[in-house]
Amino acid sequence: MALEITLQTPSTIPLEVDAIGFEAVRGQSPDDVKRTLVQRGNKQTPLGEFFDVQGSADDDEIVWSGDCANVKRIGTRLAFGRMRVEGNTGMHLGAEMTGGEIVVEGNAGDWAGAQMRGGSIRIRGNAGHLAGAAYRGGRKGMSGGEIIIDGEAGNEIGNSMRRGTIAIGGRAGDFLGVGMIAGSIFVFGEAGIRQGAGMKRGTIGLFGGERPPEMLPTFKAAGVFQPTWLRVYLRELRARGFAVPGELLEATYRRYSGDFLELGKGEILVPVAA
Amino acid sequence: MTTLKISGGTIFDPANGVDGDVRDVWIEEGRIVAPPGDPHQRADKTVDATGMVVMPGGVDMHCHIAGPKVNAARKMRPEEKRTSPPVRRTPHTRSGTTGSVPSTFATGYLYAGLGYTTAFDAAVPPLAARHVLEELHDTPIIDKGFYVLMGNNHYIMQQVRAGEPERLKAYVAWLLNATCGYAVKLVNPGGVEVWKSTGGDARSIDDPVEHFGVSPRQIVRDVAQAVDRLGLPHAVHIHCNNLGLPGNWQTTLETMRALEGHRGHLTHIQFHSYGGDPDDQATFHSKVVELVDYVNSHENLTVDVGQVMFGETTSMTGDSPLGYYLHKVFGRKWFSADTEMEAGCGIVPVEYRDKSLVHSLQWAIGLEWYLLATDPWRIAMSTDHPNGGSFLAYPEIIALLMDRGRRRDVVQRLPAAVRDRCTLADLDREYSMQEIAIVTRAAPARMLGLTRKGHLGPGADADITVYQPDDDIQRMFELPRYVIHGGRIVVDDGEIRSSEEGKLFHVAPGYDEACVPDIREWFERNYSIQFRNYPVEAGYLHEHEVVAGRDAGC
Repeated sequence: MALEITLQTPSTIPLEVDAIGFEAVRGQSPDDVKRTLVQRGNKQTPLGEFFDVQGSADDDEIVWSGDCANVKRIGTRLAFGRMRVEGNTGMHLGAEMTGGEIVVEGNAGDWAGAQMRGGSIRIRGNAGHLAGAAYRGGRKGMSGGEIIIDGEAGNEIGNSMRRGTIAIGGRAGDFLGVGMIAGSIFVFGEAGIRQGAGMKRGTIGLFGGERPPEMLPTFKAAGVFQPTWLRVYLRELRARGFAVPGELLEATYRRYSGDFLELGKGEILVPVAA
Repeated sequence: MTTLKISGGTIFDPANGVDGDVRDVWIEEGRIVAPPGDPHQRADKTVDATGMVVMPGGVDMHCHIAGPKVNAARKMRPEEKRTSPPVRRTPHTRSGTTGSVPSTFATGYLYAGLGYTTAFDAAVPPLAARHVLEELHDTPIIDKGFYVLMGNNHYIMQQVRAGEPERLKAYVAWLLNATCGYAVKLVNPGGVEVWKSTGGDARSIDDPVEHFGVSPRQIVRDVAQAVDRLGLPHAVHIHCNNLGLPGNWQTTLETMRALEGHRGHLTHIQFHSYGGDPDDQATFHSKVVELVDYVNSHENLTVDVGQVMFGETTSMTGDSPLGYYLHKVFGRKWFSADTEMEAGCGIVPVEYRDKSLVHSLQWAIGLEWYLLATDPWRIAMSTDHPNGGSFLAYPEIIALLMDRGRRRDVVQRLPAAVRDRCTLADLDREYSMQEIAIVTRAAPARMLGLTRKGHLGPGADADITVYQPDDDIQRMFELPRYVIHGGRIVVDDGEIRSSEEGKLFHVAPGYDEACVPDIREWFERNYSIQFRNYPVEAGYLHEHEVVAGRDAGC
C-alpha cells in the first residue's frame, strides 16, 4: 500500500512539502510522517496539521490527494520511486528531481520540473509557466528526463533547457524554448510568440495551430525533410498514451535553423501542409 | 566604568613585540588599558582564555562589501543565493543571504564570526557615497570605511594635464570630505576612461588617455604626490593597469617606479604579477620573484595579495574593461556601468578551477607573494573579496601559509606545468602565529594609519579575537571562541551575541577654499546633479570618527 497523504485543511498560505521525500519517510509510521516539519510561509509546521496520512512508503509510492493547488514542492529533488497527485498541485513540482516518476491527474503550477536532471513527470491537466526551465539566474534548465503535459502550458517552457524532452498536448505560451541549449520540445497545440529566442541547439516542434507560426527574423528556413528520429519520438509518446495525430508520423517538416543571434545550431520543425 | 579582563591567554601582539606570551588583557570603556597596579584588583567580568590564542581583531583592508556594484552583484546572482545557506534570524541578528556576495547584515555577522572587526570597501565612485554609507550602516558589528575612486576622474586628469598640483591636491581633499571617504583609490588609471570613450584600454603605463592628454604614469605620480602632501593616513591605493593579462608584471613594475618614492599601496598584487605574451594565455607564468625583489627593497611600497581560491565567486571591479575581458573569457553574464565623470564598473560570475593551468598559477602566485615577501609588515592578507574568493577563505589561506605539507598536497593535484612556471613548489617557508597576526591585523592596520587598531597596547580599541588552538589550523581560525569588539563580546562560541552598528572611519583633510569655485564651475557644466546636492551631509553619518593624518596637513 502506498503512503497516502490527503489535504484536510487547506491553507491560504502556501505549504512547501519538499521535506516529504522517500529518504525521509520510508520506514516511518503515518504518525511519524505527520510529525515531519514542512514550511508554511516563514514558519515550520508539522505536516499533520494540514494533512491526513495513511499507509506507508515502503513500496516507494506516495499518493497526494485533496486540492493541493496551493501545495508547493511536491517531489522536489525526487531521486527514485513514484509520486501520484490525484488533483492539482502547486509550484515547483518535481523541480531538481534526478529520477523516479511523478504523475499529476490535475493541473500543475509554475516551475514544474525546473532544473530536473532525470526521471519523468506526467501532467494530465495543464502546466503553468516555466516547466523544465532554469531558475532565475541559473545557467541551464532541465538537463535530463521528460515532462509530458497533456493539457496546455504557460510561458517560457524549457527556458535554457540542456537536455531531455518536453511534450505539450495543447497550447503553449510565449517564449517556448527561450535560451535553449539542447533537448527537444514538442507542442501539439498552438504556440505563442517568439519561440526559440536565443536558442543555441536543440529542437522545437510546432505541430499545432491553425496558422503557420511566425518565426523570429533570426531564424532561417532551411529546407523540408522527413526526420526519422522524430517518428521514433512520436511513436514513443503515443505508446505512453499521449495523443499524437496520425498524420504527424508521416508528415514532411519545414526546418528553420537558429537562433543566429546565438550559436544558430537549433531548429524549429513545422509540418508542411499536405 | 566597567572592566573586562581576558585572563591567561597566549598573546600575539606583534605591534607591541608580544610573541606568544601568557598575559592578561584589561579592557575599560571599550579600550585596552594597562593592567592595574594592584594584582588583587578584580574586573567586572573575566573571560578565561587559558590555553587560548589571543590576537587583535582582524583588519581587512581591501574588500567589496557595499554600494551599487555590490548590490548589482547581489541581484545578478540569484542562483547562488538560492543554494547558499541563509543566515537565520535570531534575537541578536537579522536574516540574510550568503554566497560570494552576502547581504549587508550577513556580511557583518560573517566578518565578526571570523574574528574580523574592521573592513574597508575598496572602490566607491564618489556619486555612490551616500548609498555606500547607508549600506555600511546596515553592515553590523564591524568598523569600516571606504576608498574613493579617483584614477579616471575627469577633473583630476585635467589638473594633471594642466600641471596644477595645488588644484589637484585641493580637489582630492575636497572630494574626500564630500564623500566621507577614507583613502584615494586608483583603478586602472586612465584605462577605464579609454574604455568608456573608445571601448579600448590603456595597454601600457605610458599610453595616452584620449581627450585628456595624460598617461597612467602621470596620474599615478601626481595623485601619489597629492596624497603624501595631504598626509593622508593611508597611501594611494593602486589597482594597476592590465590586471590579469600575461606580461602585466612590467606594467606593475613601472607603476611602482612611477611613484617616484611616494608612498603607494599596490593592491591585489597577485593579479598583476604575470609573465608571458598578452595575446597567448599558454605563455602565462609567474613574475613574483622580480616584483617582490623591488617591493622588498623599497620601503615606500606596501601590498595586499588578492589571493585566488578555487571555486565559484563573483568578480566585481571598477575596472570596466577588465569586466568585459572576463565576460569574454568565461562566457558568463556581465554587468557594466559608467558613473558620469568618475568611474566605471564591471561584474561577472567567475569560477577558478584547479584543472585550469592559469587559475592554478594564479592561486600559486598569490602564495608566492606571501612566502617571498621578507617584511610581513608590508604585505596584507586579502582575497580582494569576492574577486579572488570570499573573505571566508582567510582561514584556509592561513592554513596554507602555516603548513607547507598542505600546500604541496594541493600542488600535487594541479596541472604539472604549475611547478615549472612558478617557484611555489620550492618554497619551504611556514608562517609563524606571529606572522599571521601581522599580515591579518597588525600590518593592514598600520598601512591604514589606524593607530588604535591591530594591536593590544594601552589605548587601542578593544577589538580582540580569542582562538581555541586546534591541530586543524583552518578550523581554529574559522571558529573563534570569542570575538570582542569595542570591549563587548560580540561572538561567543560561534554565536552572535550583539549586533551593534560599528563605526565609520573617514578623513577630513584641509584644502584651499579658493579652489572650490573652479571645481563648482566644472561640476555644474558636466554633472547630472546639482553641486549642492553632491557632498554627503553630516546627517548621513551615524557613529563615525575622523582619522587624523600622518602630519598636520590632514
